[in-house]
Amino acid sequence: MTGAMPGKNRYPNISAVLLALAVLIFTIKTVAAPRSGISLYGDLPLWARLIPGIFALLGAAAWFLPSFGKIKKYVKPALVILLATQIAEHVVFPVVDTYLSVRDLTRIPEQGKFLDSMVYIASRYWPDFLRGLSVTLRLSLAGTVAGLLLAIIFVFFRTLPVGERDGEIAVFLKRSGNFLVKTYVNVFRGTPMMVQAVIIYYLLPVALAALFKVPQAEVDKIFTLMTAGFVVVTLNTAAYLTEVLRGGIEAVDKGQLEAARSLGMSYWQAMRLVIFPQGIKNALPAICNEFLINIKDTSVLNVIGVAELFFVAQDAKYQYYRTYEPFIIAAVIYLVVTLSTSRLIMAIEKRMNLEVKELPSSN
Amino acid sequence: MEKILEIKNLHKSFGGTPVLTDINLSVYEKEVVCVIGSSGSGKSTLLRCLNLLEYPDSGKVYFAGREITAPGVNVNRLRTEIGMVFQSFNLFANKTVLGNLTLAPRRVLKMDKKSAAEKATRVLESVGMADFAGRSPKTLSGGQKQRVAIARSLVMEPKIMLFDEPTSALDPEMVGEVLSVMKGLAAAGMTMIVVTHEMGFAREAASRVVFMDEGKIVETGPPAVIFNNPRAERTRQFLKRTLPPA
Amino acid sequence: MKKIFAYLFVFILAFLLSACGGKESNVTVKREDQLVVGLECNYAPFNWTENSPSPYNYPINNAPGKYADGYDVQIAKAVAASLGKTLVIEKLEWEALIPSLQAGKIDAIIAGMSPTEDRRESVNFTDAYYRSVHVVLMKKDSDFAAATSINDFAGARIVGQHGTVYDDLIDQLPGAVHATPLKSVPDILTAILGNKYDGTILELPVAIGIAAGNPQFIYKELDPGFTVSEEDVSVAVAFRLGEDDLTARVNAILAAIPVDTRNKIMEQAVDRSNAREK
Repeated sequence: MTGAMPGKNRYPNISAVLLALAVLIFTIKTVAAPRSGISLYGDLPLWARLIPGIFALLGAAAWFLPSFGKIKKYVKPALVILLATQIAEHVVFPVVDTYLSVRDLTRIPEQGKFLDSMVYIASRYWPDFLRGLSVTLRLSLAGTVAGLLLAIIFVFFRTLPVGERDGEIAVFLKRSGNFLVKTYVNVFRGTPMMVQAVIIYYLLPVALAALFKVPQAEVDKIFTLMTAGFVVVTLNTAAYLTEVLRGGIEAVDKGQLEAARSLGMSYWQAMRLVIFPQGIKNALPAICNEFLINIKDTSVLNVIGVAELFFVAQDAKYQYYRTYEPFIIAAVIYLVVTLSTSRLIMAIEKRMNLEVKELPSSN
Repeated sequence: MEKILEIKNLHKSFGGTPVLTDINLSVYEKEVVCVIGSSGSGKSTLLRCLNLLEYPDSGKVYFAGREITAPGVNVNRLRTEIGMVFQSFNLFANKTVLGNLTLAPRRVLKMDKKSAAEKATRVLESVGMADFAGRSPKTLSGGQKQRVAIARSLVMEPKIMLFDEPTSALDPEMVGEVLSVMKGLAAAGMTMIVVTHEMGFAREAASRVVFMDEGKIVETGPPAVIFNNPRAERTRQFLKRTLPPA
Repeated sequence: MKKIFAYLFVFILAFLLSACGGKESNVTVKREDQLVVGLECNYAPFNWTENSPSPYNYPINNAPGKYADGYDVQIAKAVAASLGKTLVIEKLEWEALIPSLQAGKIDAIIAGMSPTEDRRESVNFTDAYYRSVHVVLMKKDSDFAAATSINDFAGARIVGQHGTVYDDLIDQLPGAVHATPLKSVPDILTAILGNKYDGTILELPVAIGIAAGNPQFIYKELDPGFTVSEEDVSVAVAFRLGEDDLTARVNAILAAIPVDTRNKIMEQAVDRSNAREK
């Protein structure tokens, strides 16, 4: 934590001050407008309700007075506990109260009662939201992984060295391969994923049926919505990850390749055994970031009808005639998922002791 | 003694600028040839032409009797016989010390895992790094890294070892440990071509010193002659600039 | 490293296998014997979604565990039965209906769609399977709540749904401000409640359903009312362009359902729609 410099007790610990401030604000609310319904503080007399605020002030003061030094150790945990109870009081219990009041309704609460409507919708529609989330996560994970595998193949063409001694045909093939991959990357990075989804879902099956002279119905059986969604995410991810991987590989010191070759390894042995592993390791943070981005971006697949989280929220909108509430629920779900996944990724990266290298972002 | 390396009329340019002009040199078995000269004189480029990390524009290089500059030469096989040690060590960051040493023997020489590990351990002992076998390269000091790099080349049992300014990137305290390994190699009869600024090493361990300037070989001779009584004026000037007053 | 790749590869395979075919096509009947009908399932009382089976509703193929009910669903069941095919209901967004029909993903659209001129350029329409009246929906306490004819809306901000007849009809209200169309009916309702607009135009059955569920709304049938072409007040089944035989056969089927029966089916649909938990 930032703050206290050794020997100087005068500078307050920023987080402790913020904690104390939060407790103070909540205390003011408790005193000014005590809650009805389930409550920890609302039933207590006024002087009791003031206690957390007073404690917060004392605690904050502790940092400014050197004589309170010994108490510092206990103040912060105590503040945290106080804050937790107040959050329970002002955030959690209202939701619980609302839930109890909407539990037995048969009609959604009036338009305009946001919290009530949200709790109502959440308590009844949660299986659908969960199903939508499952689709979102499955598509993002599978699409990111498949995109990565594709990108590994594509980056091969992007990093082929054109040697001084290559024959004309070899040079031509290498240059064409590189050009084709570069074009693919430009197309998929230069168009919105939503447009890609529509084209792939509607046009691709028709094109495939015509190309392979297969009846449309057969193609449609294989090219379901999930398949189309998976293909879109994969192709999109592969385009971004190809460049990310290329950056990672080119960030590997050239000396590594020279040393490997000097020992007699062929170009491909050197790439496979020394360069690629390091390149991919360099690119891992960006790859994980792409996964996080995909979790959010799969929402654009709703335009072709994939039943992911946003689509489910839209369904709730139509069913309950509420425009905002379902999307706030969806936003909360997205936030919880991305934050926890982000934490998980950081923990994994720490365990692998990765150095951070600057790489092209895929935004 | 056998002539192991012969360079004839070698020319090399980088984008129009000549870097090596008409290089002629012969190296015999068990010789320790030290190449000295100022930066930009083409020393490193010459070294890299010998294991074909750079390709000569014209001229021929013969190694163990075969012309390596001819088309159709198996460069990878050639490089198993020519070891190279780099100024910046270039240890494989994704492998342990032992992994660094066993990678090429297993993948290129097709040794099995056990024999490769045993051989690697023996070579590590000879450079004094046996205790570091399981460590990751980034935990090593510069001198330790370079000793591992030398061991990595040695484990391939090359006929000749090329050293490209092996101590230039080291802190002064660590130069000694690397030089002593190199002296040991020389004493054991390894053919070595060393591009270096360490005049002390050249004076002690070299059997021949080559002075290069502006892409040409100006003068060659035994260290005693070159350092005490150089024939060419440019050699004299270079030595005056680089050697501390005797 | 290699192990991780192996696991990832297996995972993708498992995902693909679970995603392809499998759960999405619940129908085991041959494709030629199916009549795949597309509708929104979100436009009561023509079509809406339910969570449990009933004698009236029908399972939605691409939303397992959900059932579609409504006037359109009853018509779809009748048409499929008469054609001797198995009905398959696919839930789609409004704008996706015609593209999906053209691409062959569905065989018919029975979604409260009006057979307008520009739509006829893309699809075949049958004869009407329902005629409706258009009304204006407003807030109970709106400035225009006392309106009785189309001439009473001078200065009113009226909004319609994008791509529908409702939007076009706004121009028949002299002096009304024609707002930029919104994407869906719930969006319109929220905006009206938020006083961004004064009203919208809807079909009578839909307005009945909304007013029943939201006491803040009222609707008015206007006299003099809208001048509408036949195509604007009716809804028809859409087939792919050129499927004239099929269109003719279904026309015959529809002709066998008299107007009284149609109105009764609609009334029952409206009742069921209002009775369900919303």
